[in-house]
Amino acid sequence: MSSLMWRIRSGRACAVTLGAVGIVAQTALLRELLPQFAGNELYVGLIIAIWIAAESLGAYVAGLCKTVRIHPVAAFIKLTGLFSLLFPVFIFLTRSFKIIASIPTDQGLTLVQIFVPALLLILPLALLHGGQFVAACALFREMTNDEASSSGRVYALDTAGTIAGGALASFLLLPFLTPFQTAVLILLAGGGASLWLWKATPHVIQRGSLFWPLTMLVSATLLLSGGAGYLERASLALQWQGKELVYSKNSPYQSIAVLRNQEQHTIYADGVPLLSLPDPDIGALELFVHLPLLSHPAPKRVLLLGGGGGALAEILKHPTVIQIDYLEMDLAILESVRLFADPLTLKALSDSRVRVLHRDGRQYLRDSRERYDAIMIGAPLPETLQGNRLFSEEFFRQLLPNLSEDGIVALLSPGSTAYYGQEMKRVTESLLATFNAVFQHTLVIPGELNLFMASTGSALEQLGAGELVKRLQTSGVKPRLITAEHLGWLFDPTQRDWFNSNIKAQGVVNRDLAPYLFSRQIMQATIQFNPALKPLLEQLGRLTTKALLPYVALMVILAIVISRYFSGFAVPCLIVSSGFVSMLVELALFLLFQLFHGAMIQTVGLLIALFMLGIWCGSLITSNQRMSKRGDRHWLLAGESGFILLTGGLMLLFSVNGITTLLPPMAAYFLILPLLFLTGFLTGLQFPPAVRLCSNEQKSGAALVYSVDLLGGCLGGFLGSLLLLPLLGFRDALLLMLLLKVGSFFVLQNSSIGGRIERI
Amino acid sequence: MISRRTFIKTACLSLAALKADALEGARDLLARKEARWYQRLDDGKLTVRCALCPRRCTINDGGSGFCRARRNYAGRLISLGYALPCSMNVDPMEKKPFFNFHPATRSFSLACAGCNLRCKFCQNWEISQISPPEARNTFTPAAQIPAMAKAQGCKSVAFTYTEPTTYFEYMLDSAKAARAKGILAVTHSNGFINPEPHAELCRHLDAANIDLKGFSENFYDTVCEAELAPVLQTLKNYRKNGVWLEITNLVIPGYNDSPGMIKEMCGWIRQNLGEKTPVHFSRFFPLYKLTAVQPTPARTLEMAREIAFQAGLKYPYIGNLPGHPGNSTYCPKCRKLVIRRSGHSVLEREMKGDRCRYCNEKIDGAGFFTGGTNI
Repeated sequence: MSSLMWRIRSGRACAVTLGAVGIVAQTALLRELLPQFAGNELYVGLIIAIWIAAESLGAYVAGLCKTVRIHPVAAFIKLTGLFSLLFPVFIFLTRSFKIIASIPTDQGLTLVQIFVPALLLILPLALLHGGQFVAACALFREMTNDEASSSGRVYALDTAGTIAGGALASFLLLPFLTPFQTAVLILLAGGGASLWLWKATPHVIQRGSLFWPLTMLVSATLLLSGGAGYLERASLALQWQGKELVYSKNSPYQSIAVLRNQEQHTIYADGVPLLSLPDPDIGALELFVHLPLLSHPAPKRVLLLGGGGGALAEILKHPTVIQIDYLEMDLAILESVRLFADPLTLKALSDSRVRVLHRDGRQYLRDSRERYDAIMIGAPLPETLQGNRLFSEEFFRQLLPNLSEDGIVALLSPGSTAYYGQEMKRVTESLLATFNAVFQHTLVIPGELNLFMASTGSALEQLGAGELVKRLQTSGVKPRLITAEHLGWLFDPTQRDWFNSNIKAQGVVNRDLAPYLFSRQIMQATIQFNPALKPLLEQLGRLTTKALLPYVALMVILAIVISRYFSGFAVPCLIVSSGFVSMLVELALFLLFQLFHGAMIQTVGLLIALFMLGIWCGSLITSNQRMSKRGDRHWLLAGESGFILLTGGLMLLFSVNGITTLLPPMAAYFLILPLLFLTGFLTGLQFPPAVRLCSNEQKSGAALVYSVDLLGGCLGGFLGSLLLLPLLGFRDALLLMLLLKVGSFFVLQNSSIGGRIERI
Repeated sequence: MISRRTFIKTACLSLAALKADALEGARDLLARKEARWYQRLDDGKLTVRCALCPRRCTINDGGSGFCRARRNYAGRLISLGYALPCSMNVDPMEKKPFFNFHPATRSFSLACAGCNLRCKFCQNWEISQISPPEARNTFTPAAQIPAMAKAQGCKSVAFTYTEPTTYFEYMLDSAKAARAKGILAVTHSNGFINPEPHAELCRHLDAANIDLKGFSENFYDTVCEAELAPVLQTLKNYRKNGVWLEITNLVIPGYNDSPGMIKEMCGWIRQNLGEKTPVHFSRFFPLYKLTAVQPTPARTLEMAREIAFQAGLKYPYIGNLPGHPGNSTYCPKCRKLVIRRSGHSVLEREMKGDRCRYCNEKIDGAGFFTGGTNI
């Protein structure tokens, strides 16, 4: 083999490694960051937006450094070394940033405490990765002496690496390895590729350059020989700030941890306490279990969804119960409950009447023909989109066929006997409206916790304290909180009147694709931790599609008018909207994946990679240099038409009633993955013609297109995930995107760029 | 009897109520109750200094105090929450909690928005951390309260949920009105109040439950943005003034649950407030800003109760853990159970009048036998 071939191969290996390592690092960081922010998937948008912006900034800075007298090979090796060595450091920092910033681990975060760490933790690695890309391009230029195609080649190889890395991260690294074990692979990959490069280019490298590859390989060895385990333990100890951590696991859905205090074990999901054993919140459990079961004349079969199984022992106290199916989606929760359960809970788990099923509630109810006298939703009120799946109208409808004639559905929500703040009022009204939309009879027992019960039969009609006391006495159940006296209080007309005067029936129904309950819960938490922002947040909270439409329309008209007079305006305007729309659609598809399938946090690498594959394929088609201006214009318009069809189609899809229950869970793969590719494809398709058209207009055209695309993408990530999708719902957010795209189509159509100049 | 002034005000209001827009304005006017405890400063800028709580806020014209419930209108300090409660409900006395004071009676509970502390674990942050104009309020003159309480079968009026000190004038007027009609006036407060206004308040109160949130200046400073010393002074003053006193200590793991701190606290209570002071060690669940603190282990609460017994306190309780033996009252002499409780429910009473049925020892407190309206 000629030394040139050998050199080029080493360069290719480096480019592929670059892509693979980038996506692995990005998703591993995301996987660690999200649980720090209580598992709220909306921050995925923020994290990706920061990553993309920082990566481009890195590339830009590296581009500026052209004049620095450093050989691209040496630059690439150094940057790769820095990146690979810093990766475990930043994973460590992600787990320990709270203790560094003196934020107690047991307190909620303000927005500043979320945004600043997210920025600081993502920025360095993403900057370096951007720099590596530029160095790799220079390296190829150096090797092949082909100025023009080097970037394209690196881009292609980088994309191939991204795909491989995304799949690897989704199916192997995140499920089976700790992030520090992943760091070993990153160091080995970086070290190996650099060493090859070093070996292949002996003429340019001084002896000292061996330092970086060797350091990477030595670090990998150190991590392998116990270092990874040590860092894992040390970082977790810092994350939990000295509390006694007895169990921790990153499951496909969340991060599970168990803390011990005296003889009590508390199970945490994404940093939020889920269940304490041996003394759970007895008052809440008794309310949740005994009232619904007493409301049914003779409950035999019970379905319990989530909540860690704390309710099992209470349900078993009812003598009529012959079967309890307890569903827990996350195996890690089951495992931690089994490991740390008190004797009573253990006994309940192994009781012959109890069937523990490791299944997702939605999927189980789709398949099951079983009919239950009581279906109890034990999961906490949703603070994640994943959680919202058990509280939507679509899900309640799914329950109906599985309810026996007098079957009762029950869940618990936070309440008050003193005051309903605006957000808590909305949350409670939304729950009530969602129940009313599906069930014939809904009964709320108000208190500091509100018990929602619903039935299609007559079990709840004229249910009063007297009847319940009678049933309590004959059942032989002896609750601690729910005494005859307490039942009297629960049904006290004063409480009921007060509740009814506060909570109106005209709430907003919570739906899968318009997750009102979830977005209000997030709003409530944000206000809780950022009281100073309350007026602003409340303003934002009132955002409606109707109110936004005139602004969007005005913006579009303005853009059309401006582009008529300034020919240079149309293309950047179009690209900024494409960046915005494609990022929002990408996020919508991520979240849709979460709705259908769950475990998005683990699969996100693959999803991002597919989107990027789409971009690459799209740009491949239009990057032909010989295209005419007119051709460029047509390609841009074709891209616009594609976007219009895509956003319009998605909007129609999201408008179909119950679409999330009509399609099987596998839709996550066969529908969403191609759509992600398509979104990327359309984005990539427009990029080369836009660059060429802009370069004709002004010198720094490429940079302009690049930066406006980035601006659009960041805005889309930020506004899309934090405002538009959760507050307006998927359909309306897509409607706005459709409007934007129709607008930008006409902006281009109306402008003189590309087409008209030639005609003149 | 309502005073002539209140009558005229109410009449005006009723007229104004005919027109909904005018109602808001009228409420605003009527609610402009001047504060009782403040001084005007001679700085020529209409600045005032509030004298109600130890913060002694200096408030510029148009500004509000730290509690958000008192505003300076051109040199007059106005109590914004006056007659504008945001919460009115009926609770069992045990929920306040009062265990040795009229057990198993109903209490008409009310609150106006505002608080002079910033506890990270506040249960009612949605009303304690806003100002009265920000809340949904119901205009309720103090004179109407006794009738409302009676209609609900309540034996007492409780000023609770938020910090009653921030609506001091309304509490005072309501307490006076209630007692004039034979209804008890009780409060659940943080005790962060100056001795002079407190002395005035004590004359019109029957019982107080004071949150002793921790027993170190550091805890008060870092978790509540307040000071411990004034709270201890308030506790002593309550005892001196003969108002029935119970103490609540919310035990938060990792914050105020060290045996040393609890021992020191119980020793101080024994020495300064006497052995008869009931202390409620309450179980913590994640709240407000402390969303990820684990719930208090039962063992910690039991340990606190044992320490209190050892310090010589007669009535230490365990709260927020229904069914625990620590929910009940035991005779300090023969140790037999005299009031069996679970959660907020009184299940059995083994008493003769205010004495233990078994050994005739007097149980400290009041209202054991009158019972009021039983639930």
